Amino acid sequence: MSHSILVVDDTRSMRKMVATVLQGAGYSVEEAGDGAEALEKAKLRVFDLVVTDHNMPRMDGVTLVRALRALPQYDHVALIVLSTETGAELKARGREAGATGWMAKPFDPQKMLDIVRQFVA
Amino acid sequence: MKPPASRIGDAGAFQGIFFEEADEHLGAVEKLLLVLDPAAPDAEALNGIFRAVHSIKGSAGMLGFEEIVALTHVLENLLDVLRKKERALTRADVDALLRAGDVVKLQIAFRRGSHAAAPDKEAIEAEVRALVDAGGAPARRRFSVTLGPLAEAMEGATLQTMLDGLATMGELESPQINNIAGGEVRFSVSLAGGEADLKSVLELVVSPEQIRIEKTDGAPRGTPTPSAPQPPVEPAREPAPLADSGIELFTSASAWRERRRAGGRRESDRQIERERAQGDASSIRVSVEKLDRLVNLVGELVITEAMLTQQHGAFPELSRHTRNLQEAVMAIRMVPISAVFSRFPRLVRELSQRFGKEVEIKMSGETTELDRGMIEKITDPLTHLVRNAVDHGLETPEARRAAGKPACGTVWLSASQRGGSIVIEVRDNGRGLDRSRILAKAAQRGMAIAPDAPDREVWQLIFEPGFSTVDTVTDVSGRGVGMDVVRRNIHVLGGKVDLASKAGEGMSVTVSVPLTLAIIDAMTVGANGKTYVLPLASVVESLKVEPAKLRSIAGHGRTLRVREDYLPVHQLGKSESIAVVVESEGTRAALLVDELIGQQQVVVKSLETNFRKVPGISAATIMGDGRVALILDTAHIVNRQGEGAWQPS
Repeated sequence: MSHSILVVDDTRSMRKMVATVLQGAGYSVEEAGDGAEALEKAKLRVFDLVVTDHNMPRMDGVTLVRALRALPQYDHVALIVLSTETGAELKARGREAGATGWMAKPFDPQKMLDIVRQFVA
Repeated sequence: MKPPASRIGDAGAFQGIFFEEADEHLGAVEKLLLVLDPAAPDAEALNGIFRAVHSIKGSAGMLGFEEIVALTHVLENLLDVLRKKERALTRADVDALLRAGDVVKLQIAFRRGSHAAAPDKEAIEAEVRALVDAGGAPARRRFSVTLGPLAEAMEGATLQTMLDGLATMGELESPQINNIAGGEVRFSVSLAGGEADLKSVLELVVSPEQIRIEKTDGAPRGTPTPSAPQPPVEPAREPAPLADSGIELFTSASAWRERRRAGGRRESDRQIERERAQGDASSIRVSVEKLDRLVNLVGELVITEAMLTQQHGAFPELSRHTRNLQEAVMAIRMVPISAVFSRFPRLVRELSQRFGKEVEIKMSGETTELDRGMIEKITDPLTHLVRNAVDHGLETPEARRAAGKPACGTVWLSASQRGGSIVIEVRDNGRGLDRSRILAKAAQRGMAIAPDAPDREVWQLIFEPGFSTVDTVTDVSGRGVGMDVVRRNIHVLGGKVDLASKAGEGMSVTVSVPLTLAIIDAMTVGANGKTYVLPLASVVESLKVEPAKLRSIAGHGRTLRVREDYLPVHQLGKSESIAVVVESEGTRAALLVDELIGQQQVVVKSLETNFRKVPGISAATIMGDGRVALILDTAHIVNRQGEGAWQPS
């Protein structure tokens, strides 16, 4: 069975790009349009990895990461933030919230896949 | 149109989405800008505009639309200044933003191929840049900068030239230089330019991936203060970030795998494994669909048996076997409530840590069984109640000691079966409900309640939609999606919620739900020659109608006086002589029916799967004579405020 990845971004085109890259590598992908929707979906099933944008309406990415880490079933799921924002302070907040890594947008599809492969195995 | 230098293989599919989305975003931005009041700009509107522009920039970057990135970038800078209130919004900002939006539209049209020439963006870009720095003396912004990890040590002279250069642009502070391979150079700098200007200088010496710039909020205007915050000092990263590429890992993949192997297997996994190991010989796994099908078939059999009995007299053997079979099949679907309870100790532990409380959880009756479908549906309401108990019910250890109670609070969870119902209680020994605060909140929200109303009525208020006495919204509870949702969810299950509280001693919430959703106890009534089914849980009483108590009220239909209350009337049949009073969520209504037929158990058949959803009808059942009877959705009928009387169509 292929690994499942939750892709969270309020920008539909960005979400589709990330999803397509991952689907192209054989992962099954579910999409969510903001942190709150992602949290709902993540409670219904356990994904093998989550890639989330930071700046989103309703619930931002770092808050989502913190909320997911509070769920026992997400103890050991890699949570990667994908954002155009790469300030050190924000990253530190992401790290403290429990993010596994921080990836800058625009991203290189090959590098994203390299990272994902390391963390879903 | 030249093919864009897209980062993503076949960009065609995304371009379409991007164009459409960018148009939507720009439309929304324009709308927001047009209603923006420069005197008192709405913060949420500014954030919305910022987010829309930010979205366009991000996707444009992926698709290689560099000119769109460049323009949206300066727009973002301006919007950032405005939303952080670094200076007041002016009419000029709004005008420039509107015109810039038009240029972005043209840029997109050009990329789409529907506009012949790339629009000139230089003029508007310059104008927006000027606005970023507008507002009297150019605002100095403070950035903390980290360069690194360095691929190799920089030449000392180059580094010095860069630092000197920055010192002439602005105020340079507290450089920390670790100029070796893998090391970092950090410093803070305040200058008049924007992040882009700073970056362009830094890029002369190090590659863009090694530059991290953080804008420090609350930047001093004009002159920097000497006591400015130090750049954030991060602890040494355990794993080095990947050498290039704007990816930073907070945990290395190998450490991650190690951790996962060590403690990683979740309790539930282990439990499943244990069950598998033990249960290979004595149990099998069956899909839920198969079980549901079995329940359905047995339901049909029960109906057939009833039909046979009606036509040919009783077959005692057949009746007994059918009943036993039905019970046995329902038992397969039963799951011990420990399936839900088992998650609470961990939840309580985490919540207590988060809120700095000492909490112990005690559970009883975990082996009580209820229907699998029911288990799924009560999980959320119960979770909410447990969270409430820890977050709002229990006090901090200090407050508890001050009140003469043990520092450690207790949450009790218990379940038991009473007849055809399961009763679950969530109780805590915390502070209890605050009567005066609830009354104050009710007054504030304009709810009618007498100040001397009995406790029972006061407690009912917290079930009102949006009612919350919590001042600070935590991410756990107190969002106003509170007790009303709990009560609604429980009502949907045909259950009810009761509440008891004593100030200083704690509160208790009791939830009772039927054992199963597949079979309900029901009252059957006749109207217009048809049979209708009312869930017994919602029936309050049935009574003979005295015509004098039935009144018409202009514009409000008819009401029936039952003792002190005037109930809205819904007439199902022809007769006006018999009324059944039904209740849902504390609201009552009277249904006028032609006859009362009796009480019996009915097997619930979903109308939505077999037909379609009908307002006022929750499901259907098949009666002993083989005819279909509709089960009325009392909640819907009772809550039809101002929509006139409900009538079966």
